[in-house]
Amino acid sequence: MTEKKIPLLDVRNLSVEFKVQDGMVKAVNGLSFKVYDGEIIGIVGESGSGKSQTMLALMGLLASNGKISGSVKFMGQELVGISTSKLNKIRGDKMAMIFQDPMTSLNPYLKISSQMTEVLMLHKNMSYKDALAESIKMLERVKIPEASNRIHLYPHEFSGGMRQRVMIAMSLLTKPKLLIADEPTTALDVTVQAQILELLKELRKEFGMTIIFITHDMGVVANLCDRVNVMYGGWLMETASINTIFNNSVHPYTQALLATIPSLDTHVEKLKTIPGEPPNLLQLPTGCPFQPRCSQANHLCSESIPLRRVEPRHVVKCVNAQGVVL
Amino acid sequence: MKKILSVKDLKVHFHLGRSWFKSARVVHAVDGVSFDVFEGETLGIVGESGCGKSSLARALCGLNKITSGSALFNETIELATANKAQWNDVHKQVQFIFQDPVAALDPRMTVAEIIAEPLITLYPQMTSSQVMAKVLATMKLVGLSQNQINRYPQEFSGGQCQRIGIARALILEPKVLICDESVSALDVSIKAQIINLLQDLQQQLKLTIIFISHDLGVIKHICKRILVMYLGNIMELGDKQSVYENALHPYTKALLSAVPVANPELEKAKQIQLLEGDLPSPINPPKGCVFNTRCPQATNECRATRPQTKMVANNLVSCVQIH
Repeated sequence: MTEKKIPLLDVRNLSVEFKVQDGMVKAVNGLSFKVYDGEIIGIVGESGSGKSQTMLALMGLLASNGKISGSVKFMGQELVGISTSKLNKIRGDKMAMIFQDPMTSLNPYLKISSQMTEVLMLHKNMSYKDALAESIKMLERVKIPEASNRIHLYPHEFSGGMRQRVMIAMSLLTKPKLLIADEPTTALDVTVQAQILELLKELRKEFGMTIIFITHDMGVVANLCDRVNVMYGGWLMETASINTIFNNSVHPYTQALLATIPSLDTHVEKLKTIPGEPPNLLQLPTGCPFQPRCSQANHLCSESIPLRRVEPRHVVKCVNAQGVVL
Repeated sequence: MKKILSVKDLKVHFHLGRSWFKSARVVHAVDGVSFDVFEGETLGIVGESGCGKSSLARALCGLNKITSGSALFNETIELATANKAQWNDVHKQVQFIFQDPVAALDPRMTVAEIIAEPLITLYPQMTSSQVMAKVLATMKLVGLSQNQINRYPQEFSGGQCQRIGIARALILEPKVLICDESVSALDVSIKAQIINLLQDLQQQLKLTIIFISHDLGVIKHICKRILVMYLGNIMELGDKQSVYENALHPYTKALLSAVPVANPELEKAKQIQLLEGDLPSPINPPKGCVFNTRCPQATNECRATRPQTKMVANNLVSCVQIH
């Protein structure tokens, strides 16, 4: 993919802050990245790194005390500051989201049929009958057996993996351009996770979707994604293709993160650790949030740190990186 | 080697209430498992949710009742029929570390009170200065600093809370530590710290660890022998090498292939053996082999006869098709 193509999603200098009793929580801090058509992009980071808040900000789903600044362009249209009614036409239609816990994101009082048909009746002006037929087709597509009977069940009558399939089917009903998946397999067992990952790959081929996949599991990233954004303390530390991230990462945090994972394919006597703990978002250090734990930190780390392009589409935010300042 | 725990045909069943429309139902959480745990080793128990690994672990330290079968601790105490005095003895030697480090600690107690509680309960004759000395020594052992002693759990991060949980378990100087998903709720960078701590403590204190997890990477890193469970039954049991490299049981193979590895080249190259469907309900487990509904190699024999565990190559396997 070349740089000249217009990205599907163009995020520039996005920041998200929350006003709480003890001050301002800086959840996301000056984030910039692009997502091109047809890519699967992974966003990894530990809890509190801002990965979920970034996506909630894109979807206009921030909590009421959240403040967003910067620019998010989706298919050329600015999403920051847009009215809710305009946003409602985009989300659910061209942009859809799958959440981590399918039990809490489906309405337990409504049958799957009414939850699914609602989407089509609202966004596509379909009649109930057509919407139901379309919904059943989509449930079959995500491999739910006996879909025409099961659509009339309530969410609690499905298992965890099946519920997540229902969520995926629901988000695909309008054939969105962009699917945002926030840890959709974290609550599932590995054998079910493998089924869902395979399904997402098939669906991407079939519908030509672009997927943003949020996870903390580097194994899932290696399995599914084309590119990765590594986040820490609200910063985007490094973004590159998966081969670059896994084999030639530049940022000390990315390197340290990969070294701490006990893996099936290698054996080490003792795991490497990152000393200390993730930062308190209320009291972030000035400059790089990783510097108190970084083995390569120096006096420059507490100043403002530019984004550098190490090579095309490999961008790093670290004073020690070599490359063109963006 | 000495068998610290010898489990034979152990069953843990839970009775669900009878209602107007339904007859009494029984959850077969653990349905006849047999294995030994040797002194000083780390035994990993893996399996998906609902396979009975937690029910088994909880039964071994008295948190669940054993329905039938036998579990002999330290060649002397039979856990299935132990009385209160015997259980007190077991609690001094078998301790448990829970999954959610924050939920496991009482928010109204200080760190010192939390860590001292088991000692005060099981050794009432100890003086308070002896207890305090022991609390401080244990905190040092797990890497907590002494000036944190009067703080409350909510002032700590998840990783620190897990250290408190470990200190609480270790203050009794147990022989056996049962870790039920003890690192699953922690972030990657913290997970590695706690895993290393557990390994150091094991060497230092000559602990036997039963480590339960669904994370096969973590299990591989710290365990010597691995027990694979599915729907209350043992599928395969063997040394780490033979289970990971020469898995025999179709379920073990499928489970291992489903784990994504943090290496894009290997991920692209590998053939995943996808299992169809979900785990059946432990209320009505399938007849014959419990895995037959999802097994790619299931035959009529599998649907009819429940397999016996047998020794094949270096592993204990329960599958009728493996000889």
